[in-house]
Amino acid sequence: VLLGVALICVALFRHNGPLVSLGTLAILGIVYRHWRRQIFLVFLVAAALYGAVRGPLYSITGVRGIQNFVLYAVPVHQVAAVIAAGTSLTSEEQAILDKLFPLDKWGSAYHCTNINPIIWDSHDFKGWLLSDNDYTAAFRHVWLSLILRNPLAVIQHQLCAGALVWLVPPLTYLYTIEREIPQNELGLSTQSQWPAMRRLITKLLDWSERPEVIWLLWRPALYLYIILLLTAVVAYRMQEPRWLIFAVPAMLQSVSLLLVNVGQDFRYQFSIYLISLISLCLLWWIIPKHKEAQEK
Amino acid sequence: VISWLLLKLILVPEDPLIVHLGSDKVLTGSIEYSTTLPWARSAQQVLSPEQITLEDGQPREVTLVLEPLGQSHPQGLDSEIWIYEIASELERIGPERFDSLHLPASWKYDEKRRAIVFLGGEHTPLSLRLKAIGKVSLRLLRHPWSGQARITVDGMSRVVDLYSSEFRRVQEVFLLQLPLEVTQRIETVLPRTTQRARLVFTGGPRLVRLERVEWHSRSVWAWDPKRDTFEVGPGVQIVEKSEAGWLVQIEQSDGWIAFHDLQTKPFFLPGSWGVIVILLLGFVWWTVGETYRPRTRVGAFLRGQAYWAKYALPCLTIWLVYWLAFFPALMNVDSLAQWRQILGIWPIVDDHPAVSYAHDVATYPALVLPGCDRSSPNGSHERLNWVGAGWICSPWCAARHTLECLWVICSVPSNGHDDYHSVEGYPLWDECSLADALDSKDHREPWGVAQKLSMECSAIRSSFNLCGALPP
Repeated sequence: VLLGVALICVALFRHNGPLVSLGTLAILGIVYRHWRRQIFLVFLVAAALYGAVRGPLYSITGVRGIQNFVLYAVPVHQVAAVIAAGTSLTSEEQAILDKLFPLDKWGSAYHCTNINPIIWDSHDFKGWLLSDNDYTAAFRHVWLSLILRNPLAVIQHQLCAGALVWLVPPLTYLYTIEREIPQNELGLSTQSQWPAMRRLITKLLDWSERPEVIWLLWRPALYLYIILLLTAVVAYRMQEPRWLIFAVPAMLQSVSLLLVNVGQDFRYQFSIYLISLISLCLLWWIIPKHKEAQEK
Repeated sequence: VISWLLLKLILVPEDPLIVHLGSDKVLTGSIEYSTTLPWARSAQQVLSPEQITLEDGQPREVTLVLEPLGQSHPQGLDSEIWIYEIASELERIGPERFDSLHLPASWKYDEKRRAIVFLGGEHTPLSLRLKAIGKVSLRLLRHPWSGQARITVDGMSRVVDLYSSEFRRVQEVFLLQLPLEVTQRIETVLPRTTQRARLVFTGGPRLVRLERVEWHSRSVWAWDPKRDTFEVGPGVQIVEKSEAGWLVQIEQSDGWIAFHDLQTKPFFLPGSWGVIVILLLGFVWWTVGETYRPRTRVGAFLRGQAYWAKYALPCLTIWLVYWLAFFPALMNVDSLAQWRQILGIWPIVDDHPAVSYAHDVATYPALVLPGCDRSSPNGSHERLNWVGAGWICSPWCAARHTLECLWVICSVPSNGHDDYHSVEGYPLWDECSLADALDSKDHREPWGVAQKLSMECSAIRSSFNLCGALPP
């Protein structure tokens, strides 16, 4: 039950959560074959809870599902990448894409690390992609055609868009945290009760984002590699391949983000950061049973 | 002693400083202040646009009154006043319009010299109206026959002495910066221990009219143009003193004016925050003492639970520091979007799925509302503030934030002993529990690396215990 609840928490925390939960459960089922029944029960618990939350609970509380244009962010970004790579378009494709964003601006507005220039400069990005209609169907068709026409551009784009997952050096920007509440109409503003401490923390944060240290303090790629390395080390030391499972949630999280990332936000990989810190202790980890065996 | 030191030396309350002034430009600058704190004898805060409220910068029609006052100098030969031009940035009254003006009896238009003149007689004021934003300039004659005049613009006066010993006919422009282009209000805070503060003006030369300064500290300290004075730095000149304010010419960047003796009382009392901190520290002090050496049943209970307190206290302490420093919370655009959803301004959407959203819904009223502007849209904050007040005062709130830090420790065996021996699995829960506990808008962001590091060992502990449930 606990495992099921934990998987639910992961699945309902971010939109790539279900992939991490399901993938982890599947690998557990493969590795721990003798416990397939229990793991299936876990799956049932998790699936039931997931369905209950996204079905009746969302319905009762009036929660709208994820908006269509959010789902289209990745395809739009990929289309921009393909256009920026100089891929030729048919006149029909040009007409469809021009409605979403001026055709002559697709290439110049494209930045592999950030989709915002396209979304925010588009005259009616949300309007066209807000709901399922003929236009979204046509756009999907164009998107599929383009990624098949120039798959290399898409791969290059995804590697760049997901740079925070795998790239250690700070070659792309990285959004970390705010220093104060952004301007708003809600009457919310930062009203520090301890301005001196705020200034000190802000200074530290600014320092931590300097290129010479950000790769160590903020960029999550190094932490992913630490997880992978230490997992391999402990599996080797324990002579037990099942220890590799330790890295599975982190890997699934990273891969899923690599496939769909549209912004360089530290928070997207925050879990990797934490798991990595935990995994440092694997260096000193020796299972007592194994130690006993060694002693014998 | 520790509480007292913390209160006196670190948690020094800050009191609001309000400066009313007018200027020909929007103010840029900083406030430098010196305090009695041994490690912070002086400090500086650059004035941000949020701290400066523009109160008036619109063009308006002003009334200019020029009143002859008579002979000014013992060797003066008369009390004449010669006006060649009156102008603002928006309107000019020159010779081409002089003949169309309705002049009082003692004033006349001299066509030959193309000027309006007062050559003696009844000291009748000359009144004119013109459009201006700030500056009004008068081109007047100075020679041995000239006298004094009071120039008043919209009730603010300046007396000019036009006598000159030179027999040449010298025309001089008198700039009247009343009313100034922009009247502004600066609102900032200074530590209660501040003794001296100075307002530093950057951004080049400017004319400033200082009208009033108030510092609402233990008692209200105020600078009043009628009776007080201030110190000026190099390159700063006091042009005119009037009851409405002092006109100061800032001739260079970094020119400053300084106020002394802001806080004359040697000892300060804690403000409301100080009381809260004292109570909190007292509670923590008592709790730690009881836990370490129980003397009551509560103490014995606490000692039994102390295994988690050692993780909770550092978490809460660091969280409290961040909360106070970035009060009421650190929010980004996503947090604001969720806040709008909580208030019902926006529909609830699944852009941030249920777990992260539920966390924010439960937390924002407690953390954010105390910092809300009460006059917020549709009064929702006001209503929700009761929820927030109830929430933040409830034991559940404290427990909740502790638990958020300690979600990972929930599975620690109830006997509190370390039990790693059955662990042969892996911490599948970590991602969920830690992410759920920490990856929230108002907590994750204020927490820093130190916080994350402090979580490390507790997470290890819990994860390995949790994984005890998994078979080898």
